[in-house]
Amino acid sequence: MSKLSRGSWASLLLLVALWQVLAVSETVAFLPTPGKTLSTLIAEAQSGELWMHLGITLRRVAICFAVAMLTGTLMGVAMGLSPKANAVLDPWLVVLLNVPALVIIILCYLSLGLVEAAALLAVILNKIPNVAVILREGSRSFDPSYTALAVSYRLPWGDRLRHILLPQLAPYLAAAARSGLALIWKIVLVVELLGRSNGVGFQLHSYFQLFDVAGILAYSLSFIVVVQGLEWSVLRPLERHATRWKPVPAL
Amino acid sequence: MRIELTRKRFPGRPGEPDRTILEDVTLELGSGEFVCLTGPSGCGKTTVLNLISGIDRDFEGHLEEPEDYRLAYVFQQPCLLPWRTVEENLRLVLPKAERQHSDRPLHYLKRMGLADYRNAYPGDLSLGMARRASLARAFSIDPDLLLLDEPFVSLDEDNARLLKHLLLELWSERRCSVLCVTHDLEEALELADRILFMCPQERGIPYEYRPPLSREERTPEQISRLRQELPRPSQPKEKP
Repeated sequence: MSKLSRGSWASLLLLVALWQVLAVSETVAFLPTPGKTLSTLIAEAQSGELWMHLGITLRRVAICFAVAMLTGTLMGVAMGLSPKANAVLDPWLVVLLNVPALVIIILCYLSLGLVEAAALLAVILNKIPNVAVILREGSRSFDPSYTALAVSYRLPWGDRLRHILLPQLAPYLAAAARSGLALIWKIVLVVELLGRSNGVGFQLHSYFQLFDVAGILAYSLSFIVVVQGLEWSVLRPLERHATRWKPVPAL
Repeated sequence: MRIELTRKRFPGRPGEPDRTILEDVTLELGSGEFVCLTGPSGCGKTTVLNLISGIDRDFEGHLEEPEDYRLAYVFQQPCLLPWRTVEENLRLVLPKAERQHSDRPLHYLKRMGLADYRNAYPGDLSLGMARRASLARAFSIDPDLLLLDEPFVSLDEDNARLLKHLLLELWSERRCSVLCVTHDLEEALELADRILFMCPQERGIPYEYRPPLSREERTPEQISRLRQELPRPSQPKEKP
C-alpha cells in the first residue's frame, strides 16, 4: 500500500499544476509558486531550523497522542461496559466535547501560565472526549458469545484482555488513532501559536507576521510529508497486522 | 454434580413483569454419565447450561460442584475467535502452565481431521469443520464435565453423523460427564445414557428415561421403535 497508484500520481500532479497557475496568474494574493516554496523548504532544512521546530512539535504530538489515547480508551471502555460509569462520566464528556478547542487552550494558559505543561494539557483535553466516544461505541459492541467463552473456560483477566477484548476494540482503536493524529497535530499548532516560543506553530506565526507565505507553505508541506509517512510506516502496517485474519483484507 | 434451582427469572420488557423460566428444578449428573436434556424450545434448556457454566450467576438456588473440576462448553455456534488461528484457539483455553507445550490440542485436531488446518483462521473453515474444532477445543482441556448446546444443529446429515461418531468415540475414551442439550429426540435416544425431559410449567425432578439398549444396538430402526414406545413427554408419568 505504500506505493501510490497511477491515478493518485496524476491527481497529485494536477494539484501542483493548479497551484502553479494560481500563483503565476496572481489569482490568490501572496501565493508563491511551488518552486519558490520548495527552495524555501530546502533552505530551512539546510539551516537546521526546520528539523528543530519539526522535532519539537512532533514530540508534543507524540506525548499528547499517547496520553489522550490511553486516558480516552480507559474512559470510553469503562463507560461502554458500566452504565453507572456512563451516568457519572457522560456530563463531563458532553461538556468537553462541546467546549471550543480555543476556550480550553485559553483556560489552560490562564490557569497554568504559558508553560509546556499547559500546552500539552490543552491538547490532551481536546482529544480525550473524541477517543472516549469512539471507544465507548466499541465496547458496547462486544460480542457476548466471546464473553461467555471466556467465563465458561475460566480465562484469566489478562488473557481476556489480550485475546478477546482488544481484538474486538482494534478497529475502534485504529479509527481513534487516525482521527486523533489529525486532530492533535492541528491543535498542537494552535497551542504553539498562542503560547510557545518554538515548534512549527510558532514558526507559522512568525512567517504570518512577515507575510512570508512561502515559509508558511514550506512548513505545512514538511508536516504533510511527516504525517503521511507515519500513516504508511506505522498506522497501515499495524492495521494490516490487526486485520490479517479477515478473509478479505479491509485495506 | 447437582443443581437445585429454586427460581430463575428473566427481566421482562419495561412495564411488563419478569418471566420465570425455571422453578424448583433439580438435576443430577453422575460421574462419566452421558445425559441429554431435551424439551420444547423456550423451556430453559440452554439456561441450565449457562447456570452450570457460571455464565449466568443470577439465580436462586444451589449449585453443588465437585472440587477442582474442569468444565468445557461447546456452544451452539462454534464460537472460535476469528482473529486467532485454529490451534491458537485450542491453546488459549488451556491452563497457563500447559498452554505452550501440551500435545492435546494437536492430538484432538488430528482426531477431528483438522491437522492441516491448525494454522488456518476460523473464517476459512466450513461450519462442520468449525464445529469439529470447537469440540476439539473442549476435549483439549481434558474436561471432567462437558456441556453441549445443540452441537449438531444446522449441519447436514453427513457432517452431523461424523460429529456424533467423533463425540461418542472421544467420550468413551475420556469418560467425562456430559450434559447435552438437544431438541431432537432421536439424537438423544442415540447418544444418551439417560434422557431428561424438561417441560415449561413442570416442577421438581424432570421426567427421565434410560434407553434400554447398548449404543451398538441403537440402529436407526431401533431408535424409531424406542421413540414410538416412549410415553409422550407432554404427559409425563407420575413421579414416585
